[in-house]
Amino acid sequence: MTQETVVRRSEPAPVAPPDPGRAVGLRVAGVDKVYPTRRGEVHALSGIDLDIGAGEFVSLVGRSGCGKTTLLRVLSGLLAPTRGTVEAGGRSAWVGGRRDDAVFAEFGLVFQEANLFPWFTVVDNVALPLKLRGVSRGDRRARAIELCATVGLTGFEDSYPRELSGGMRQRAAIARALACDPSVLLMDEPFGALDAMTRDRMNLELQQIHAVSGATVVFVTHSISEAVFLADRVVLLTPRPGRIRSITPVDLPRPRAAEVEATAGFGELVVALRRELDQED
Amino acid sequence: MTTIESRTDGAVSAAEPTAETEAPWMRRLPWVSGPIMLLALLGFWQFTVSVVGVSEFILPSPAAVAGALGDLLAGDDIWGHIGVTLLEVIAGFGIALLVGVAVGAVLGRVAWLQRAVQPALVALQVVPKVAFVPIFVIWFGFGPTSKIVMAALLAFFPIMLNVMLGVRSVDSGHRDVMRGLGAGRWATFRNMELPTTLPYVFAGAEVAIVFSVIGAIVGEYLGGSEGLGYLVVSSLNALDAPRLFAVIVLLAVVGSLLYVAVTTVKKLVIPWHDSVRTGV
Repeated sequence: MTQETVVRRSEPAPVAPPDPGRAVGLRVAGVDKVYPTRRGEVHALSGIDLDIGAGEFVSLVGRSGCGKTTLLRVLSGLLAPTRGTVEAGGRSAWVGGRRDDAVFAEFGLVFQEANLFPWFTVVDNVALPLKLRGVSRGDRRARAIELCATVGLTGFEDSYPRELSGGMRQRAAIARALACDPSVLLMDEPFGALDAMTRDRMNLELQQIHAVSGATVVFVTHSISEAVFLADRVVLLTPRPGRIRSITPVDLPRPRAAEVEATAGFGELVVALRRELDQED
Repeated sequence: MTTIESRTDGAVSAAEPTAETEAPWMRRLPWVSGPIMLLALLGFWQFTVSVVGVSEFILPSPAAVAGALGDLLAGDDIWGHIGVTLLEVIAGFGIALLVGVAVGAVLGRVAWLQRAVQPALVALQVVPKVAFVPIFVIWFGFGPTSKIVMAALLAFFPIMLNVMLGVRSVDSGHRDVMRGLGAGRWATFRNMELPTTLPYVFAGAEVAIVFSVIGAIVGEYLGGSEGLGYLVVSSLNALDAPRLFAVIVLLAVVGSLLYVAVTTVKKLVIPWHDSVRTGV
């Protein structure tokens, strides 16, 4: 059942996460991000309000410079919002410009680049979050090997990152983000640098990881079809200043196979979102 | 978590070919070409002496130099001279390593301080530092101390400048990872900043060990009665060309061994680095 519904600021879509006890929701209220520059202030984000349900998969789409990465960095705790609040599981993530590390410790981050440490092997990279938490060497290695299997890196545990292809590096980065069983997974165009075929496969795998882990996922991308394929809701951002233009629920049944992209419902959603993006100019 | 069962693309089974998968003969080439070039040099040398007929005072024959080298090594005091030079080089290099890493790390982190001392650094760098040797002899005497100071001064700059660059070269993406994980200062240093900087420390050290030898030898040329540099000068004063050449051969061997020692430590400490894998 796919009717074209473009709703502004809709309620969180009803999702039943497999592990509702652990997942947390995110609430963004009135968030502004202003950068002072030589030519005056730049509004990267303006009045962002967004509720993300526990276990929900939300895609942020928009053109370059629309503030989607800035919003994700605010959610990740890497960038303090100028105004507004960010809550995770009802707990305030930023208190007076200072981040609450306990909140962000629950988050797993995946960046555009894999950002693996070249001096660590794949297992050591994957186990890094566990090392920082003081997990013993043997335990974290065992867990890292398990995670490598999850992302399809079995046999490459003791390789160095430079020996891996781009797709494999990104898998390792995802495994690292999953190491501490994050309740929230924040991903900034993680597959942007990959070729189309690898990207399709990674999307299928990510869908499975989301289903199995039950984590809340916020996924930044500039590909509308990728956003629709993965998400429960697609948030469209427009630039200067970065604002939420629309929030589109995607009620395609899960699990979604690659063939879902050929269905009428999928196509309508993509066309509607693309039209909205074009209206900006 | 379950395993994702998708193992169809090439990406999982085959990694992209990288620089280190070069042909084995490329790796062995230096071990073949080195001896060949050495033999060619010796052959040309012998040819110049015996066929062209260059004076023994200007160019002694390889055999004469080998004989002088044998006499030197059979003598009692040669090991003492080698020991003195080694001590000066290693002490100077060690001091430069400690001070260079410390100063480089501070200047790399504290931007205003680096700007403030920039003029002094440039001035010190462009000055021909071996010109200081007489001053060091006045200050520290004719013993090994003045040579150690000279070796340390020459070795300090490549280490300090490289460390300064290394401290600043931490990848912003890597920083994001550590910040995202809420890593503390010590964990960030151990897992990210130190491994980032180590290749720069070794790049500096490889240059610095060569500079230390230069510093010690120049110091010995100008004053004192010990060390291989002193032996060079005393051979010259005695117009003993074969011995002069033999000491220079010894110096080349000592310098090469020290350099190899540094690169070996590098290979053990940062086996993951590009410079180790491609042999550059």
